[in-house]
Amino acid sequence: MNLRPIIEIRDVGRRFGVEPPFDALVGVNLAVHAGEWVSITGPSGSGKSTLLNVLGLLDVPTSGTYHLAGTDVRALNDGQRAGLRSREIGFVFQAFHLVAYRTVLENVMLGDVYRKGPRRQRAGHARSALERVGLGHRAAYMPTRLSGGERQRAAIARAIMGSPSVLLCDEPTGNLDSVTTAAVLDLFAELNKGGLTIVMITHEADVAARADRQVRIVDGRLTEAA
Amino acid sequence: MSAADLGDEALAGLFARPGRMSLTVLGTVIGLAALVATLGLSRTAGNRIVGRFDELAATEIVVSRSNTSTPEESVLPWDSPERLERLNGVVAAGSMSTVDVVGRQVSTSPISDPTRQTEFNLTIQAASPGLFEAVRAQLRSGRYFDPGNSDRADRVAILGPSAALKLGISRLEQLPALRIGDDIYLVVGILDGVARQPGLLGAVIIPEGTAQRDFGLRSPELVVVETRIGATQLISQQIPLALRPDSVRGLRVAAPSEPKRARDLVQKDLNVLFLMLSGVSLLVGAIGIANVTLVSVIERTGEIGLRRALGAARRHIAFQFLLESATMGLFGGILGASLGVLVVVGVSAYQSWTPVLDPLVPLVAPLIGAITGLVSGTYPALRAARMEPVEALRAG
Repeated sequence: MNLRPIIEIRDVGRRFGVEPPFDALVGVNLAVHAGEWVSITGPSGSGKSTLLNVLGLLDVPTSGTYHLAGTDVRALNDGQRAGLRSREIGFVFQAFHLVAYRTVLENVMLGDVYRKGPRRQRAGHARSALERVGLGHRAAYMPTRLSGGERQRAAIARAIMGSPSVLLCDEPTGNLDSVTTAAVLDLFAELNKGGLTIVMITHEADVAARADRQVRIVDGRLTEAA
Repeated sequence: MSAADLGDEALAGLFARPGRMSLTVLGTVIGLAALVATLGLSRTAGNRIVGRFDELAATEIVVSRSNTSTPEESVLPWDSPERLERLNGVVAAGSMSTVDVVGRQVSTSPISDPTRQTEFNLTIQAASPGLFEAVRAQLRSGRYFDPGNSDRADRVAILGPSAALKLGISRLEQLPALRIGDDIYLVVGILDGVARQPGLLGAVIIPEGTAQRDFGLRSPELVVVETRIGATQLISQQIPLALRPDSVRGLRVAAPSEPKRARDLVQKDLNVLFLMLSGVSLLVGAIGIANVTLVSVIERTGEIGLRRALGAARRHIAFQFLLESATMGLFGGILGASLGVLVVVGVSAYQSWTPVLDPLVPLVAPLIGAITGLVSGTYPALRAARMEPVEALRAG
């Protein structure tokens, strides 16, 4: 395990609105080391998504510090945050967010468009990412022809396309049946075994149990689960 | 993100809904087709109008008395047409004068019919026999009078078409006559039209010799000269010397105005009107693009959120939507310019005209289209770029 965590947040708070202000996150401390699989659980409205958005550089905390892969993100502007996000983070969403008018292969290639990678190798990388998630035979399909599980696997292929440091998953099995959920979690386990850091939010206890480490968030306060 | 990637993403976004894109582009197509077609047709038609006008105007010189000189200095000699016809480059020359008949009326009836008007106040013009050729007169029936009629001061008259209609004379078989005051004139010809001096159309035209004897005409009022094409400037300089070598400043020689200026003026008038119409069509097209791009931004909120999550900066999102709208404008411009050129060529072929179109116009039209698209897409693109990724992902 590396000495310096890949994700390190200290005393992070996120406040929305002014009249009256609402604190979605209060004094959150979290350190995630490379190769860890951490699940964040909590009831609806507890601040799970806000925390994931902060971790994914989609939202800016109102207080505290955040170091991602050794970089203090407070000092970055919008463009720099976007660059760091594209290099270090892969997202997997509950709603898959596949672009309906692009093929599965093009959707996966989209994961590399905003990185400064070479264009020529992009299709090859996307194909191998699809092979890795077991979807090589669906490369030319439109996303509408895929099942729910296949869509999520395509989204995971897109997320791992550029070899990110961290995979951030927002309820990745929320729209899947139990068999498909198990298959997707097996895939996560395989990717984690390969060294990929995974932070996953979920409200399902059995899904959270698959992670190495579980943290719980209630009313914006994070506690390490027993 | 490379420019090639940006282009790929914009084109993919654009062609995601080809039907909608085609309909959106239609507004710009119509606007720019109208622009190219109107500029081309106005130029073509203008060239046509001016071409006719040029040929007539560029060969005409009118010589008259100068207002600034004394009457003696500016008198035109009776033999002006003969003198001018000797100049190389003069095709025809004729003199004419409005005759002061001191209130005498023209009538065709020897008796006064109280139930209808029998006496008319018509202009009496005195003309030299050569005038008819110089004004390119066309005869409906009868003949022109000849030098003999003028020399003998015969009481003969030629009627302009309007004058003939007023006097009720349409046929010459029964040798109709008319009276100017108490003198009887034999009508020998009726004009069909004139290309110059339209005042002749409503006039009773009599020989100069006759006007001299009956009405005391002292000298011709003006001389109309038709020259060969290109000879007007030279002939204009020679005329004063040929007519009044003793007083070259006593005459006013009106040569044709520069035809190019006249053409520019005609085109300017036409173009302003047509450009306004095209501008309105283009504005409608621009509003169409803005509207559809805005709808597209709202529909693709989730996609915008995803792109932000994948590492797109705000400027990448803005550029993509700007490029999409500019491409729509560019397509509209290319199609519109092509359509406009086809219209110009088609109308010209139908009318047997020579199509005239500034080659820059069809080249600039796509550029105007692209700029229209770019401007139309600015607000939707900024709106897309301003979306917060978290909100966008939640909405999509």
